[in-house]
Amino acid sequence: MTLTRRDFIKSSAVATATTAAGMTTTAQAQNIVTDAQHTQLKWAKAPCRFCGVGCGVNVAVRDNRVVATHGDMQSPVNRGINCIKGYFLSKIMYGEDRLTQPLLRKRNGEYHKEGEFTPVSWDEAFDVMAEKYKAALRDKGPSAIGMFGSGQWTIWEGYTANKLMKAGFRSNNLDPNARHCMASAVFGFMRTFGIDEPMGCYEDIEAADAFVLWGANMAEMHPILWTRITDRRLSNPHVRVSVLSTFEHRSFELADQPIIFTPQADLAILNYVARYIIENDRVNWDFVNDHVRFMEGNVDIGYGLRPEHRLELAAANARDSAGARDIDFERYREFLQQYDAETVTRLSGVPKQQLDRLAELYADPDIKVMSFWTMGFNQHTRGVWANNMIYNIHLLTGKIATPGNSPFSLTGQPSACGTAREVGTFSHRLPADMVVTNDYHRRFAEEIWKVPEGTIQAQPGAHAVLQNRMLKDGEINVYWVQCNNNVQAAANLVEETYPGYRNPDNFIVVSDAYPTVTAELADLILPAAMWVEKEGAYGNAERRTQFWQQMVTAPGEAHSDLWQMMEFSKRFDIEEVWPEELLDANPEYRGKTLYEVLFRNGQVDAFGLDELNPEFDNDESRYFGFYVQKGLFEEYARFTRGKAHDLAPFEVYHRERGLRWPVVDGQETPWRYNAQYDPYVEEGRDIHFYGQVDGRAIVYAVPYEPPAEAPNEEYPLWLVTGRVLEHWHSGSMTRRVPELHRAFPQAVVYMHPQDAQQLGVRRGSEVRITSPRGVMHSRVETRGRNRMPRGVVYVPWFDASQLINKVTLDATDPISKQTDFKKCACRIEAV
Amino acid sequence: MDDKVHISSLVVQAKPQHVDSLKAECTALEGVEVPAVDLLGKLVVLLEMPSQRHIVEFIDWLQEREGVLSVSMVYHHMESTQELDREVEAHDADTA
Repeated sequence: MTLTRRDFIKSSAVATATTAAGMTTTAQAQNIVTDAQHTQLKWAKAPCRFCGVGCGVNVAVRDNRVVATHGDMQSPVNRGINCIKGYFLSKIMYGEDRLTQPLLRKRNGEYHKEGEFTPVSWDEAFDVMAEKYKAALRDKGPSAIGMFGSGQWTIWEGYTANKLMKAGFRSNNLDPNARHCMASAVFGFMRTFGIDEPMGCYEDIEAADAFVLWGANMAEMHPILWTRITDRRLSNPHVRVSVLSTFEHRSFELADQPIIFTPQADLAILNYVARYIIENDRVNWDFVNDHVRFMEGNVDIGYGLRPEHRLELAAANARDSAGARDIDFERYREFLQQYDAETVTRLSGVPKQQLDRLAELYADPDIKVMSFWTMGFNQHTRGVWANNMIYNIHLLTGKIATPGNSPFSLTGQPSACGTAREVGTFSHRLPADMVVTNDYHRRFAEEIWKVPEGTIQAQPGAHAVLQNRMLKDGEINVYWVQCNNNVQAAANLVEETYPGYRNPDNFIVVSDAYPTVTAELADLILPAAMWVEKEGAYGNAERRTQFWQQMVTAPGEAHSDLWQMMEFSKRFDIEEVWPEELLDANPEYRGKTLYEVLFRNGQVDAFGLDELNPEFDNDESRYFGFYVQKGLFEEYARFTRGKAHDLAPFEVYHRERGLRWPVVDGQETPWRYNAQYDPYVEEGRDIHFYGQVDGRAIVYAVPYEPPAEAPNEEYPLWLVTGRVLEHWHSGSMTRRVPELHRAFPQAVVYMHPQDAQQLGVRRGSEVRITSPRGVMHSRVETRGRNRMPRGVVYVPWFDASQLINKVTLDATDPISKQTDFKKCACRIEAV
Repeated sequence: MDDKVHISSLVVQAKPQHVDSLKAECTALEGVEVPAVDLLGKLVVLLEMPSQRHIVEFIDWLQEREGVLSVSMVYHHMESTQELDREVEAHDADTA
C-alpha cells in the first residue's frame, strides 16, 4: 500500500487530536514527539510561558531556534491540547524588536536622565547602575533601593531577588507584579487557613457536580481548565454550571445559571448564600464543630489610597484593616441577618429566585461543588473579604478538601504561586509563608542564607502601589524592574506612576525582552533572556512545580534576570552595603563581595558543572562555574522541607511532569488537609487545618461595604478592565505574534448598544473615555464576545497604544494592598 | 519558493444539539475535514491551509458559531507541498 507523506501527517494529526479529546483511539495514536526522526527536531518539555494553569508543552528546536510547540500528551494538566496563545508559543521569542544589548540614556557621551537610549556594554551599564546604588545607600540607606519583580520570574530568579534585596541590600522594598493579581488571595488564605494556596487540585473538576464561577471568565482566561469543565458538564447531564459576572461573556454559553450582578455586590451575594445555608438548617455541624471557629473582622477599613485622601481620613479602621476578634456562631448568624433577599436584590440586581438556586448548589449536601475565582475577587477593594467569604460557605457546608468539593483560587501568571508566593518575593514575606515581622522567621532565613543575625530588616517594605508613590515622592531613588510591564499595568498611571519614573532624583532600570512602555520610561534597559533561553522552574495554581531545560541561547547580548542579578552583586564590597556595626559583630564577612556572601556560600555553589545534563546548554552555570540553578533550588528547598511546603530533590522535577507540594517521601499531595492524601494531617484526624495553631479554619463575619468610587452624574458609567483570549496581560509577548495581533489588534470599549445610541455613537465610532484621573481614546464595540449590561463598559488593557490605566483608580484592598482594576467611574463621549 | 501547507488538528467542544450542523458547516469549507465526532459534544477538525493566518481566521469564525463552547489546538505541522506529496512506505507510518 502506498501513502504520501501528506496522508501520514494527516493521520497523525487526527490520531493525536482524537486521543487528546479522549475519543476512540487508533493504533497510530501517539505523542507527537515520536515524529522527531522525520523532522530532525530536538524535543523537550516545558510549562507554557503564559497563564497560571501551567499546561505542559513539547518544544521543538532546530539550529538553536524554537520552531514548534505542541500540547504535551503526558501533561496531567492539559493532556495534549493548547489554547491559542499556547499554540503560538514558538513565536514569542522572535519578535522583530527583541532587545539584544543594554541601552543607557546618554547625552554627550555620558549618562543623562533626558538623554537618548544608546547601546552600551554590560560593563558600562553595571558601572553606572552600581554608582547610583552606592550613592543611594550612602545618602539615604537601604530604604532608597526598590525592586519590582514578577510572577513570571523562574523560581530561582525570585529566590535570588529575595536574597539580594532582603539579605544583600537589606531593603524589603521588593514586590512582585503578583501584588496586582494574587495578593488578596494570599491574605484570604492566610487569614482563613494560616497557610497559602489551594487545598484542592484540577482533578476536583472531574469529581464535582456543580461549578460556580465568581466573576471569572474561564472560557477566555483559563481556556484549558474550561475544556475540562465543559467535558464534565457535557458528559454528565446532572452537572450544573453557575456563572456570575458584572457582564455577559463567553463562559455564559455553558451556564445553567447565568447571573449578572452590580459591581461590588458579590460581597452581599456571598453573605446571602451563607445566611441561606444557616437559615435553612443546612450547616454541616459535624464539620463545623470539629474544624471551624468564628471571627468578626474590623469594618470601615478605607481604600488603600494615600493617607491624606478624604476616604482614608473618614475610615475608622484604615490603620487596623486586618484586625479581627473571636465570636461565636450565634453572633455570626446575627451578623448575617442584614443580608435578606430584599436587601441583596437591591444591592446586586439579582432576583431572589436566582440567588436561591445558586445558594442551593452549596446548601444541598449531595452536590459536590467547586468554586472558581480570580481577578474579580482579588482586584477588589474588599478582595480579602471576598476570599474569606467564599471559604465561609465551603466551611459551613464542609465542602472542602475532598475530591470535587473545592474552593479554587485561580492564578493569572505562570509562577505567581511558585515564585511570588512560595518564594515570598512580597515586601513583607520570606520563603514558605514566613514574614519579615516575625523574629523567629527572620532568624530562620538568616541561618539558611548564612548571613548574620539582624541582617534582615523587621519592617515590611513598600508594596507595588506604595513603590510608585515613593518613587514619585523621591523616597525610593534606585529601582530595578524585571520581567513585567508595570507602567502599563499600574492604575492611575498619569498621576501616580509616570512621575516616579521620570523624577530627576531617580534611576530606573528595566530588564525585559522587548521595549515595553515601562522600558521606554527607564534610564537603563537591560536585555533579558526569556522562557526556554534559560533553565527554569514555575509553580502553577494547583501547587505543581514544573521544570524545564535551556533549549536555545538568548539573542545578542541578552542574559537571564538570574545572571543579571548575580553578576551585578559582584560590583559591591560587603562594606559598601552593610553597616559597620553588623560587620564589627561579624568580622568574618569583611573583605568579601556581595556576590561571595550570597552565592559563594558553600551552598549555592555546592554542585559542579559535571551535574549538568550534557544534552542541554546552561549559560549561567557555564559562566559562574557551578550548577547555579541546582544550588539555588536546593538552598531554597530547605525552607520548605518539614514545613508543609516540601519540595522534592532538584533532579526529580526534570524527569516528572511536575509535582504538587508538599512532596513527602517522593509522594505529591493532590488534596491538602485530608488524611487520605496529606501526610501533614495529624494521626487520628480526617480533616486537619494544620496551618492554624488549633487546627481550625476561621469563618469571618465581614460585611458588604461600598466601592471607593461609583458612577455619578458627571461620570455615569462603571469601567471594568481585564483581558481577552488572544492576549496575555500587557501584550508584550502576544502582540509580537503576528497571527494573535491580527486576531485582536487593538483594544475596544465594549458597551451596551443602547448606551452607545444614547451617546450618539455606533459600533466602530471613536470615543473618549474620561475619569477624574485621565483620558483615553478607543473605539466602540457593541457586539462580539462580551455583552454589557446598561451602564457598564469593559476595556481590555493589553494594548500599549490605549493605556486604560490612565483612567483607572489606584484604590487598593487595605489588607492585601492589591489594586481594584474592576471598578471606577467614567464618562464616554464621541470624538 | 514552493507552496507551504499547514496541517493542523483541533478539538472542538459544542452543545450536543449543534454537533451535526457544525460538522456540516465546517466540511463545507475548503481545506476542512471533520474526521471524528462525539455526539455528546465533541468534534475533531482537521485543517489543511496555506498559512497560520488562515488557521486563526478559521478558529475565529468557528468560535462565533452558535453552540461552540471551546476550540483547542492539538497538532500543527508545516511543510512544502512538494515534500508532502512524496510517497512513503506504509510501514513508515506504523513505526514512526
